[in-house]
Amino acid sequence: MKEKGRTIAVLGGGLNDVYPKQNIWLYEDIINYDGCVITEYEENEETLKSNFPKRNRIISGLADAVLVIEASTRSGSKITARYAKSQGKKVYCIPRNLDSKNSSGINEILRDGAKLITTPKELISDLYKEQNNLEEYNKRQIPEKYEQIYKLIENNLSKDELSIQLDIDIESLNSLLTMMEIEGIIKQIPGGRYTKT
Amino acid sequence: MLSKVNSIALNGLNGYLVEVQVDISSGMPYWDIVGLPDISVKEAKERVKTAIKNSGFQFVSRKIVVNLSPADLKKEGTYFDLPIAIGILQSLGQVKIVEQNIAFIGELSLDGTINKVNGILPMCLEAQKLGIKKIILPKENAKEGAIINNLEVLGVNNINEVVNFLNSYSSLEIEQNTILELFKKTEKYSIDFSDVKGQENVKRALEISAAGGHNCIMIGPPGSGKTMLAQRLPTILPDLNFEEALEISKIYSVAGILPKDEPIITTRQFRAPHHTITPISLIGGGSYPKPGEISLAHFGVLFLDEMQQFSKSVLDLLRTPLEDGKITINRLNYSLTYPSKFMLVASINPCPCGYYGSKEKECICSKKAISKYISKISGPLLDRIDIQVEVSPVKYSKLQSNYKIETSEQIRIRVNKARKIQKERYKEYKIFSNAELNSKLITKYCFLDKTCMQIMQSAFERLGLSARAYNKILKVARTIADLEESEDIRSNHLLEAIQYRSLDRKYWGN
Repeated sequence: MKEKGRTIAVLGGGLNDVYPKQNIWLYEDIINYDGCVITEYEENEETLKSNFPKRNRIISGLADAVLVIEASTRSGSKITARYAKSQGKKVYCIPRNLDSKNSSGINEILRDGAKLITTPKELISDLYKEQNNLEEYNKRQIPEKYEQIYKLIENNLSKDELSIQLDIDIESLNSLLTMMEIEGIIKQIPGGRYTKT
Repeated sequence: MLSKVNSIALNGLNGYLVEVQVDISSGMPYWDIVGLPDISVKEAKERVKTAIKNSGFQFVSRKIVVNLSPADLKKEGTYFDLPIAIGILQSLGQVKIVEQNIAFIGELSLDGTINKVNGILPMCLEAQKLGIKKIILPKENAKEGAIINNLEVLGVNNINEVVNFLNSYSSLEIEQNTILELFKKTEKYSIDFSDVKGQENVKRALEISAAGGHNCIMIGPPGSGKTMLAQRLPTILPDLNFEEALEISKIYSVAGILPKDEPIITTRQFRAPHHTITPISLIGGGSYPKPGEISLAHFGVLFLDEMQQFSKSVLDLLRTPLEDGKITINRLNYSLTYPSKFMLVASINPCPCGYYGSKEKECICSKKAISKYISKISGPLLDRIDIQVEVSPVKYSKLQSNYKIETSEQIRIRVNKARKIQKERYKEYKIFSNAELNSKLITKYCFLDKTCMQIMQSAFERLGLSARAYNKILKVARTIADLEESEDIRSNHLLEAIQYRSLDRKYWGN
């Protein structure tokens, strides 16, 4: 929502039954940010635990693809992934630690033929390769004054190195970098260095 | 016969007049010192008696009572040996009348030699305030005492010299005051910022720290030069004025570590205690009270290398002095205050293995371990540190490059200018630097225009800065503006200030 995307929430009960109750703000935020809340149940119907797995088939049905971030052996995410597969949607997942409890499901999904994703770019290029959107993504509009820095940042340079290569003083470089961070073009990584977002 | 001799004692950093009263009367041989003496003063009995005998005077077996007035303050140290000996000699008629405008300080050896003592500088300062004209003290301490104006400082080697002087058989040389010469010496530091190659980003952060009196923390892998950089921070701090130099020298005098030949501290001090330091040696105190590391770093830099290694209880002690600029030590027997206005510079490794974010070596720590490691520094202490900067090692090839490197002196000129602006601006509030601004003054002096407000807002949204960062960014931005001699905080100042909040970044997992 912060990034001005749109959110669709699918409920496991009637519209009037806010579940869990403390999440009422989320409902409002979703609507306020031009999203929507939908359900297959009658207005006042109660939310039942058993509805959730079924509800997940709508989620996967609405989506172009499903990206699974966390899934234990018995989890909703796994169910969603299965629905997605049967509906002929693409399923992606993020590799996790073998020992982690919340990753055992991921490995099963992987075995079932999901695609492994490590960077946002990978996801986008795979999803949109037919639609030729990738080029557009790569050709992101970088304001002219940032162009030089933006190019150099790929080389994993420290601030000092950037300052020498760009031949600007550290004060101006620092302000420029903050500006680029705020605009979401780059982000800071450990070691006082930067990477493209 | 009763005799009275003046001496000076110490309470914390301040001296006070002690009248040594000696009475010798007939009666059974007996000798006592009263007036709350501690062991070191009581032992004066043996030293004085033997020293008098070995200097060729008669010592009698009669009833001797020595009182150290004011008698309700605890006395300690060996500097009463000389006044007690002179009092006894006067009572015995070996010394003619001792004028009241002379004070005596000194420790005796058994052969009558007078040894040096600690704390001469504050004692002489007090003597001058009390209107005492002459002060007789150990030769070794004479140079130190001579720093004080309007006071005749007479250094002596043994009792005989003192007796001959008091009886006008010979004169003593008045120690010359060389303070201004010492103070004006230009070559002050043996190290310089230009010794550090590269690291421009950290140098800039340190320059801002120095210019605004901001405490600073450096985060970086081992061998990235954190200590080397911190050591050079005093060289870019504003020049000491005479009063400041005197105050530091007083502390060093009491601690007994004032250099003998040049008994005034003319440089900002760099103190780097080891992490096993105990609370008392850090803040001062002990059964014989002495100033601690934080007071020795007064007007200078206290450097805590590997800050997380210090015990939590020790680190928490820093909070009050960081806030108040002084430390008050209350014990059963005494209560005293030492000044401790220091700049805190800390260094930490980014993670237990030390290489998180390093290009040279891969970090082997888990996310959880890193987050735990960083969160070991207590929030309240971190709250008093305005500038956080990451240090990365400089490559060998760059060490040899010879592009322009600024010397400490060049940087110090800018720092001095910025400090002057701040001093002028805050003169009615009795504060000297931007670091000392409270939230009320921040609103008044760190005003942001509309563009800056927008930057600040989006920075908080996008970069996930914590709320406690807000005022610190403002203060640092104010200092950057002062360095540029700009009246207002402009957007580039603010943008730069935001860069010095490394620990707020998300990748520490907090």
